[in-house]
Amino acid sequence: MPDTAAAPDARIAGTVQRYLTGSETLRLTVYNSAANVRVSIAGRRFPYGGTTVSEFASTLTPTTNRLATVLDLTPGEGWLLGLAVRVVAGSPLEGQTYVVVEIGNGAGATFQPFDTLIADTVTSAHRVAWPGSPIRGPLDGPGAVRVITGSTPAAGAEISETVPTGARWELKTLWVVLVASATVATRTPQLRLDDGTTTLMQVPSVTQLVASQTAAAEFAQGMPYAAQVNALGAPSGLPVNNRLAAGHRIRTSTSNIQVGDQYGAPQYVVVEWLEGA
Amino acid sequence: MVKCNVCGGTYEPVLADGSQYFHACPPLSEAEIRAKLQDKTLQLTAAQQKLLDDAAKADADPTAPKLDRSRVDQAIGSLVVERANKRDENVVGVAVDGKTPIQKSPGTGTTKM
Repeated sequence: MPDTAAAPDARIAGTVQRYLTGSETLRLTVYNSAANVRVSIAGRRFPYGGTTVSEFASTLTPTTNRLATVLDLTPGEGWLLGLAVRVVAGSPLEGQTYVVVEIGNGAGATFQPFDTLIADTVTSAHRVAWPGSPIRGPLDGPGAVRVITGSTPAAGAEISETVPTGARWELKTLWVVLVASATVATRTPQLRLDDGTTTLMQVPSVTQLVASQTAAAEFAQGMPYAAQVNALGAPSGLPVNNRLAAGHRIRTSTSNIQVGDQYGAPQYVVVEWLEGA
Repeated sequence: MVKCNVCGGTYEPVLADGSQYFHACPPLSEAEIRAKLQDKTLQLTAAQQKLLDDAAKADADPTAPKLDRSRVDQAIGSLVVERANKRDENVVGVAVDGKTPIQKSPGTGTTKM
């Protein structure tokens, strides 16, 4: 580190500064689930021995599969004065794009971080900067509200939706229609939450179907265990503030389901956070 | 829209909001388990088989209380049996090129509809 007393003019009074030797890497990591997002990183630095502030900027297009996408920059020797990260394309919801800016040594797989400057979710309106923005984890915000249409199973099969890699979900509501075949039996749809192997809980639907009947099974937070509201609505309750990790499943298990019974695609609402992967 | 070649489920790989959808095959339903047990194409674990055997014995016991739903049916409903070679599109990392995502289990792929 140079003797700043020997280069007094190289310091700008009154600002937060970070001296870089020139060998450091500035790493931007983005975790994202929204489509068509592009993130920019821009900064200002005062080069060692220089007389004017210089600027640098770059952009990164993250993948949409919630895996880390990385951009390494080498800002060079001097004083880092400020950094800003913002969304320049796409419209991610709060909770769909999470950024981390670190300083470290090396690049690629050999990168060794030694400081985190920025960490937070970003949207078109929510921009983050160093210095100034608080460091926040990916689970700290309100999460993104998403409406998802799941898979339509084959006849005689159940619905099953899996929390994607890198995501954490809170299941708010689920709606699915079952068309019963002509085979005589009383079907009772039940919603199961499991961790991919072990059943964590099961809620029966109020709706029971006999031969050749079509009815919806619906589940929602805030409802009692099972509630026949009226002829048009029969929601069952979901655990309030439930949390489902990656690999957990939301699925039906239907008593007396028949080979010809056909579920439609489930429609469900989740709040999603990025765990990162 | 695509169709999973393993389970026959159909889905849109990209949802209406532009985000990716990751299909994973459901476990076998009661109806599918029954059909596979009948045509002897399903090998249960020892614990699962014991569960069914015990339930069948209890159903056959004339002194046991009668239930709305047989104990065997209840036992089948409690089983979690995954499909052979199930497809799970969720990613577990990237290939050596650092870009291509690796799926948890590709199964036998999908067919465009």
